[in-house]
Amino acid sequence: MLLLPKFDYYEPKELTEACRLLSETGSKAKIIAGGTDILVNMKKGLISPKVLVSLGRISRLSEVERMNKSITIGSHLIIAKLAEFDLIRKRFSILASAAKVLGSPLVRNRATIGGNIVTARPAADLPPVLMALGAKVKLKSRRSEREVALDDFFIGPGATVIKPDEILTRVIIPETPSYTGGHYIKLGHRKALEIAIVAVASKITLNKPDGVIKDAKIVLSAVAPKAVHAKSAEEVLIGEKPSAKLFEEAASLAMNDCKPITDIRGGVDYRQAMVEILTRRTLSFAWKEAKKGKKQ
Amino acid sequence: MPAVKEIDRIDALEKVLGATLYAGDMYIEGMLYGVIVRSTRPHATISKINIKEAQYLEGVVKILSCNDIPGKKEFGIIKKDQSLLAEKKVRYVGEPVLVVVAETERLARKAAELIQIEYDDIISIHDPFTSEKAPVLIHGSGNLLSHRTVLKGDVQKGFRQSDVIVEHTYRTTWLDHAFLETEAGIGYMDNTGKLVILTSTQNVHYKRKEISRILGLPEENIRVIQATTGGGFGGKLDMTVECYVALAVYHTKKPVMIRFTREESFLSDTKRHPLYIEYKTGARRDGKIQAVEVNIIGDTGPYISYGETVCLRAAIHATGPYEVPNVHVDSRMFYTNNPISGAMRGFGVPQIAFAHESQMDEIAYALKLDPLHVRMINGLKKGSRTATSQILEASAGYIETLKRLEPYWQGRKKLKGRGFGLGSMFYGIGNTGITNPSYAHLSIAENGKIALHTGVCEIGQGSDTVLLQILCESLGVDDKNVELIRGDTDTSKDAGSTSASRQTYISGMAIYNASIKMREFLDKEEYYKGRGLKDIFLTYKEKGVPVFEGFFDPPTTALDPETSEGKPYATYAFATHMTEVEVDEITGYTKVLKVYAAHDVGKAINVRNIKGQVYGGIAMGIGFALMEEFRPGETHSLDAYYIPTSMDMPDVEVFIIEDEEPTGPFGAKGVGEPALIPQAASIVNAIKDAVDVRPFELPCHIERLKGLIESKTSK
Repeated sequence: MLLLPKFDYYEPKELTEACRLLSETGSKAKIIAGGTDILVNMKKGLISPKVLVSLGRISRLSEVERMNKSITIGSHLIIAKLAEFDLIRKRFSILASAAKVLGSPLVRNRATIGGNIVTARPAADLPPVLMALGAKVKLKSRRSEREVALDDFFIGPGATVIKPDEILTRVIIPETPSYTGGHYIKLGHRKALEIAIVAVASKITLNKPDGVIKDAKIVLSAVAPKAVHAKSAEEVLIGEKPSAKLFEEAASLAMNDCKPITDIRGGVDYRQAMVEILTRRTLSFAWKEAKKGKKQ
Repeated sequence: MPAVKEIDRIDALEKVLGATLYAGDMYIEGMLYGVIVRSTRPHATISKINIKEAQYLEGVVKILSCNDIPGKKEFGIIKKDQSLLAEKKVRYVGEPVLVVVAETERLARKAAELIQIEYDDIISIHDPFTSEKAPVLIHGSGNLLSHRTVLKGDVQKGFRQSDVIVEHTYRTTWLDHAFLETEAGIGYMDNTGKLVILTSTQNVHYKRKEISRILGLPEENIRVIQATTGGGFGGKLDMTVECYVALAVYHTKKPVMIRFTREESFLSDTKRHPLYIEYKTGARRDGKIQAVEVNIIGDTGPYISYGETVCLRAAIHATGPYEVPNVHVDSRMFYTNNPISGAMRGFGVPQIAFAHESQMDEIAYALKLDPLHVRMINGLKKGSRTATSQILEASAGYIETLKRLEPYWQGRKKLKGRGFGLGSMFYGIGNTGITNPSYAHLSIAENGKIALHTGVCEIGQGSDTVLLQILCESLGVDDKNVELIRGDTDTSKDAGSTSASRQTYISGMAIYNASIKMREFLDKEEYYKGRGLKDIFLTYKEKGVPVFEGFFDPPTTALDPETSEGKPYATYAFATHMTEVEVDEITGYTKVLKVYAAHDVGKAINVRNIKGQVYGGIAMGIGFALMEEFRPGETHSLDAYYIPTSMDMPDVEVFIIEDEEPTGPFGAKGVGEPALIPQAASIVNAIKDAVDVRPFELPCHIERLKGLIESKTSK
């Protein structure tokens, strides 16, 4: 049995208190949310923070709020709850569908949206859909607060722009315009507890039901050190009328927008080939959804 | 025979409530922890061991090496070929070298990390094909562990008589048992001076023998008790922690626990043997098989474990549940410096079933015959002569398994991207061609209950419940009046291992045998006329309460060393699975949608238990067919070892066939391994039906299948 090393544990009720603890203990402290990642790494001896600061008692961090032209999700909201919010299911369905395939029920009952972002795993489920949705994250420290687009947040596996004294407090997702549709597909060996071999999140917005593509986002996961936009694929879609042929073109461009590696989960050629397939499939589905009409 | 009254699993409630304690949950005041220091080299001599830093760590109690073993230094379930702690040489990555004993587990692990072992590497062998001719010998005796042949008739004549011949090579890889509970045990000296080991195991009496050898103590001074065991699948048959715990208790005189992390379990646990199978089948135009020629090459790793058993069992079962007039099977097992392969649910038969079932379908395709029909006309039945020339005298329900599935097979509707496949198997119950008895005894306890003493280890498969049912039925008592005392060398005699699907059949019969004797006694004592057990107990308290011994050893014969002619098993189980899959041709992803599983179990003692075994076997078969792959040096934990989840389970319909076995309790045989054996084969055949490509290598995982589909379309 693997045992946890010793550490001090705090459960502040206020965010300011959490920020203070973090700034005073410096790099020896770590935030713990669901603990599905950090506790495993601590047991394995990969990291040994002296202090863990839990966000569990800061109730605002588990709330979803509707703001003007956006929603903001508290970073401590557990994954299982994400898919339960009507607002998320209806307006940000790709986020709900990614949440449903993350880990297993046990993991989803513990893991949080913030945790799935800050751990910066190249195959994490939420970052690609949040990037496709154009999400930003709010980072708060004792003295400052800033917002960073998720596109600029990740550096590489396990590495982000977050500073040691900063806490990811909220995820801000802009309202999607009418005639928007999206889809997320995760490919793996099994139906649960799966770390994707390849995953793709796509989102398109049409100017009218049978119109042209106004905006397109395609984000590829598990095929680069971090989730990446298939930039050339996105570009080729904009201003065009959707068609199977167009999606094929975009899909084949997407293949070259990533740099997969061969590891125990899959080979480079297979991954590249699957990027094409999943891009095409997610776009077709997104199109169908986008045509459905105006958002309420 | 009448149906046996079904009862609820006696361990279910406690387990569901999470109240059950396993070996790793035990705690004794003042206990120490042991951690095994293992080789990091596949093949090397040890040149230097530096324990200084570890030794002086406060709280480290002992660091044990091979020099601390008071008795014999080697162990092994079939042959004593493995050093408990390496002396000079290591032969695989993970081989135990030292045991660190410390006051806490954390400290023991820390000390283990501080130990430096220097090695002189020797050329290592990782391929059974190069092993044969390698200049390096893993043991003095050469790198071929075992070569067995099965000969019947004249295969050349058989092929000449054939209208069609199909020939292919099939490959499988290492699998891990991946039991929920990793290996664990705790030991202590009791107040009589006896060394007691409580362990997660499939065989208490064997473990006692090994400890006795290693410590040079008589068996009476050692007591092995089975802790509640969270799965075995063959992986807890070999010695795991027991001798290390015993050695540490011996030297420290204190309670000691050793429990493996998942990583240690993956590194040290024996694996399923990877087999390379060249298979050639000849058949007449009408589908009648004329000849089968098989060449099996296996990788057994550096130590024997069950290598010889798998070598022989795969050979004997190579022709599947079919009557083949001309047979030539060669089966060879080579040493390598890969992980040790050993026992795993089916002992080589799931691998060989993948080959023979692929061949049956190929024959059917080549002759444009229905695969079910081809199986039907070749199937073993009463009076058939097997490949080892054994005449099946009774309980051969194979044809019935096909008949039960026939309506579903004929009624199948093939949708795009979907396919159906059949997989059949036969499986010899009990050990192969050797005596493998079980003993049990009955008495009346002071509390007025029937005391059932058995050495059978319950490993989660349900033997406690089944054996209790057999007793209650044959004795005509209620299970509330029975006290089950099992899995303890002090209170029971050897029942043999919980392996080879043998406990219901063999130990069930031993208990049946004892209860016939006790029934006579109880009848005489007027128990059946209403006299209480307590009253009977009191009558005999002074002069001694009689003990009723039961015994059963299935009638088998030793096999001819050249031809394997003989009767390796007293009885066989038969099964057919029909599986529907859906394959995404573009990604290579296979979803198993539905399985119809028909099993001839002789007699169903506990229907729910049988179904449970079948569901579990199907899950394991899905893993074997589609996702499980242990890669030495790369697979370290469940992170990259995919076992199916409940989300990957198909709908399952179980059909139980009862072709009673006259030598079994109420006609029962076994189902533990049969539940798994045909599943992968039926998936492979269903994939072929769905996308017209045939996998020759398992697992046929998503990427491999995509590759197969692509190479078909590019042709």
